[in-house]
Amino acid sequence: MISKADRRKEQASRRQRAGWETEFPYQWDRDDLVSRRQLLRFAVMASGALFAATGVLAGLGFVRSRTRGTRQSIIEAVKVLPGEVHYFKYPGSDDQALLLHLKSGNFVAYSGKCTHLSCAVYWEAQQGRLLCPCHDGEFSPQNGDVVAGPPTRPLPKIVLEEEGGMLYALQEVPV
Amino acid sequence: MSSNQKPPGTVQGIPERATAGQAAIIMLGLTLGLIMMGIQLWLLTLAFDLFRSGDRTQTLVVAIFSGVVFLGGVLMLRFLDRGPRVKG
Repeated sequence: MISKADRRKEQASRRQRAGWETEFPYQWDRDDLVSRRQLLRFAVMASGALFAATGVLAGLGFVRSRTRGTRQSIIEAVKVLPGEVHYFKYPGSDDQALLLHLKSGNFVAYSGKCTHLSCAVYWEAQQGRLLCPCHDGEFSPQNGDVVAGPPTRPLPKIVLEEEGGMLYALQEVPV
Repeated sequence: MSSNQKPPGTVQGIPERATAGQAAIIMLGLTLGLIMMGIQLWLLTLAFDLFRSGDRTQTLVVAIFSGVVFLGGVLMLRFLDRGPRVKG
């Protein structure tokens, strides 16, 4: 047996629902529903696209040359004293690079772009560190390896050549 | 009922709604598929990082992993896309 109070409640609820549907009519029969199976099919298609993108990157790695740049003069070797740095552009006119004269007497050159988010790396002479100011990334002056901070890859090296007291950049090689 | 008439709630003799067990399996497949897609997305970022660092071999390994995940998805789709079994 349904009591009168329950029946009244049910009628009120039905009236409320009817009011809602009047204000926000929704035509279910015209709706284009996506079934679970269709969604699964879309997901597999997206998975195929992701695989294709990864495959393209792998393919490009084998097709594209790893080295960049051509022979370019940098500076006379005597102008950069041990423990000092010289900033220059290489391999492109917008690519910052740095030449370091290590205290051991060797010259090394690296790309000046941090491998984390491409901020400009600079030489802190006092402590002898290669620093990226954006997220405190630090690289080794000896080989460009990551010493601290968020970068995961070392700085790309620039192959140098000294000829007649002049330093030349030959090519940039990612490590 | 004539042969042209469809039983209610069916499309070409196949029930419109999956049974509770079928729906659960499809949901499981869908969930697994979405998780694997997330992993593939991560693999893509990893491949990009390796590509930038010039590590060809590792990039290829990551691409192969991504392919295996995709192949798994295709197999799962084939398994779940089977038509209804005919009882004879």
